[in-house]
Amino acid sequence: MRAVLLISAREIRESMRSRWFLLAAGAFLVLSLALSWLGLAGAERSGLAGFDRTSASLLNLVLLFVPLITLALGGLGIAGELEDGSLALVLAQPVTRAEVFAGKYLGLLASVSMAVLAGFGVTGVVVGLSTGGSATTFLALVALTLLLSAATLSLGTFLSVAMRSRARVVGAAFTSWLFLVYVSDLGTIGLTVARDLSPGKVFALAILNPVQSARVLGTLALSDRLDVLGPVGIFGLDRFGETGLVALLVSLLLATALVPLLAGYSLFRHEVIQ
Amino acid sequence: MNRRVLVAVPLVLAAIAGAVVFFPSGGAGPEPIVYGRDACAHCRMVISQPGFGGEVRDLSGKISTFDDVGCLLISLAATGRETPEAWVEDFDGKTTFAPLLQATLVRGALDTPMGHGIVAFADAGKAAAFAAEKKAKVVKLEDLLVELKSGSFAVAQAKPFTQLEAERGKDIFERECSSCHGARGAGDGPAAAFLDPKPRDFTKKTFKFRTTESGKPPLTEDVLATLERGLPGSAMPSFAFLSLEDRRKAGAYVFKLSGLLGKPEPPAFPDPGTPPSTTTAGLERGKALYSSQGCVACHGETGRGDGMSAATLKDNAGQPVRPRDFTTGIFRGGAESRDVYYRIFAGIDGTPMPSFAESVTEEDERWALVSYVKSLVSATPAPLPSNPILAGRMVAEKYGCGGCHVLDDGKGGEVGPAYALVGKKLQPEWIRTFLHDPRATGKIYPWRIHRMPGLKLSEPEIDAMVAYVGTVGKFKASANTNPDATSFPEAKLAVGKNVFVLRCAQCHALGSIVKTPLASQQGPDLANVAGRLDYAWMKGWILDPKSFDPKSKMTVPGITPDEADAVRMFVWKMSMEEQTKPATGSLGGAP
Repeated sequence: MRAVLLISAREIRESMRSRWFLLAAGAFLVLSLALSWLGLAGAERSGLAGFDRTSASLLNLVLLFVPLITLALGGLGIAGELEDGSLALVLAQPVTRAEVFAGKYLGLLASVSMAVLAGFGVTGVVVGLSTGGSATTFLALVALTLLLSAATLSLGTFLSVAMRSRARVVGAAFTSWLFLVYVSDLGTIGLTVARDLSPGKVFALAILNPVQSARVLGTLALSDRLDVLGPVGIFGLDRFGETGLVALLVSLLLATALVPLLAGYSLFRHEVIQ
Repeated sequence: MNRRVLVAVPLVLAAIAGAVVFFPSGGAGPEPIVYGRDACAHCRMVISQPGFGGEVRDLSGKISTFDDVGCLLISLAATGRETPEAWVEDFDGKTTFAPLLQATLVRGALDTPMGHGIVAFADAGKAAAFAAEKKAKVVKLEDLLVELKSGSFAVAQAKPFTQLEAERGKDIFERECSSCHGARGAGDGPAAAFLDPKPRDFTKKTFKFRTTESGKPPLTEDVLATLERGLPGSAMPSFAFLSLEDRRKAGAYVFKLSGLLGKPEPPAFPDPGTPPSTTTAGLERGKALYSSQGCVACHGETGRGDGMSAATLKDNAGQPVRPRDFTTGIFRGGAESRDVYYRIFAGIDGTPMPSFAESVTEEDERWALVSYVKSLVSATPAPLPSNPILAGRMVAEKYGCGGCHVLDDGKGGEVGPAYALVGKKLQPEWIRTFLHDPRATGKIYPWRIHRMPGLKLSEPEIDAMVAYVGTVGKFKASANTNPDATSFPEAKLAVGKNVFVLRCAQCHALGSIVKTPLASQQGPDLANVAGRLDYAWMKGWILDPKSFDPKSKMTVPGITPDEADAVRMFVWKMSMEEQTKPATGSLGGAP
């Protein structure tokens, strides 16, 4: 356990030193601040509650941004160290492979969480000072972001182990990101139109994608109005009820966090550096 | 390793997605309707009342919900999908479903969400009891579907027209009705001057064909019935080619013009029920009533409309009117016994035909008179005379052709082309095809506001009109041959192409070759030329259009006979090619 913590701490320090990570965290902070400011400016005109409006904008930012950083960071984690040889050095220490793998994942998750929390924290203070409002919604969004980070970071880690070289991992990570964020959306819409799918099938297609699950969860936290929720969300609500739907989506996200991680670990144990 | 992953992961994802998409939709039977949220697939309204609606599951497993059994049936008849599964809500159990085929349907003046007046019961006994209580009838599904297939759904109790419908009906009225009834509905459209009987002046609020008491405005469904059936034997065609929604909009606009919109409807004339069967004794009594009630005075002894005072009759606008000739079997307000009953006992307002409701009060006497009037219809209609001019005039009078077209005597409206011109320029075969279904051809003259109505001429009447138009146009039968387009010399076609591009394409479209000409006033799409126009006539027309039609806007100054010949060949050949192309774009026959 001590080894896991040590490796995690090392990972966090590495992240802090990495310009890429700082850049990503800074970009997230700036974008979320900009969105809050715009949301508040709009709220004054239209008289809408600032918090939910900002949260809605933040949700979209999170859904685009979190998969992007986590896939890239997770992807570069093991493959990068494998290429520059530092992984061999770590493995030469008296630690098990499981400890190294877990430590790297947890360390990266902690770094990403800190970046996200920093972004959200500043935004929350700014918005909270200006308006006050539904803090639960905001906290739900933070929790959702952490959950999504865990899921997509796990995907990134799996890619890292499977691809084993920086160049290939970057390619795979960006392809996966594009798929999660755009292609699966477009595919679902296209199939729905072309094959006149029933709402149940659209729902099943949508939740295949963890980003979509997170989107439905996030929308649910923001508003239960039917027009905001859309047909997929309505179907889920009708079929599973609110608690059931939340439980289903959360467990899907947890599964996305666990399954690639375990698959990655089994590869890591047997194949990476004999 | 990484290659395996690269292939395996996307493959697995694609397989899961494919399984989801093609997974046979599970579940049989209806799904519960969520009231206040699910919408009717036919009328698009949110379903709020349990007990009236239903569901259809199509072959792909998709469920459509309906708020009214009537909406469900209309949708079933219209889509014609093969054996979809359908359920209707049990009116007794409210939210429980019964398979449509096993349900008992009750129809009558029932207050259902969309006013179709049909409810369903799972239990036949309860249905019968309900029908008896509400004075409604148990009806068969097949009968309802047949009624729907024939394009009409006589709504048991039509909902009153709404302001919104009236607003949306303005465009339809101006397009379909204003040529005769005028833009303000005052019966003063451009065709009105030549019509007999005259088109109705809606601003006078007098309506002929009603199921309300004499002197009262019509019911919503009376107007809808006239729009759907037309007035046979007059220039008012059936508008059944419009959707029921569009007919409602047009009718609503008529009510608006009459100032009747939003006014409470008068009580309906007592429903006469189903006509009893005709008996010899009944006919005898009817004949006696026909004389004693004074029908003879106008309609004549034999019902030919030649009674003593027939020639002196005038309507409320001071126009002479003729009493109906019963022998023709044509009844303006419908030829069913019930229709004739309403005409006699609700009267025909605005004409000398009064209501006989006061003078004949016994129900069986009334039906006796109706059956006698119907017995005057001669079994075989008189054949049209052999003289093409006389025969054509008869047909033209019957359908009011002269309202829009100038006839052989030089009189008539200018809403459509004059017969003298049409008879020269068009091929008889094309006219024949056109008259079979005037709406199928699409709009030929882009500048004309109105369109030829969908008249339903009989086969002999079409023959008579083709002969008539040909005779009026002094058509030379020998000239009516399609040229052999393969023999057109290439050099001439090349000249023709140049002339077309430089002179004709300014105003004329040519199928997919010239889709939108520059000029604001456009001529007809020349893709319609081959098979429609007379080839010989074309040359003369191109050289001097004004000699055929002084009002034509077409002008081609300085064109030589050789050029005219060449461009005629080019246009003919191109339009032949355009016509053999699959119907897309401008040739699609957009209305």
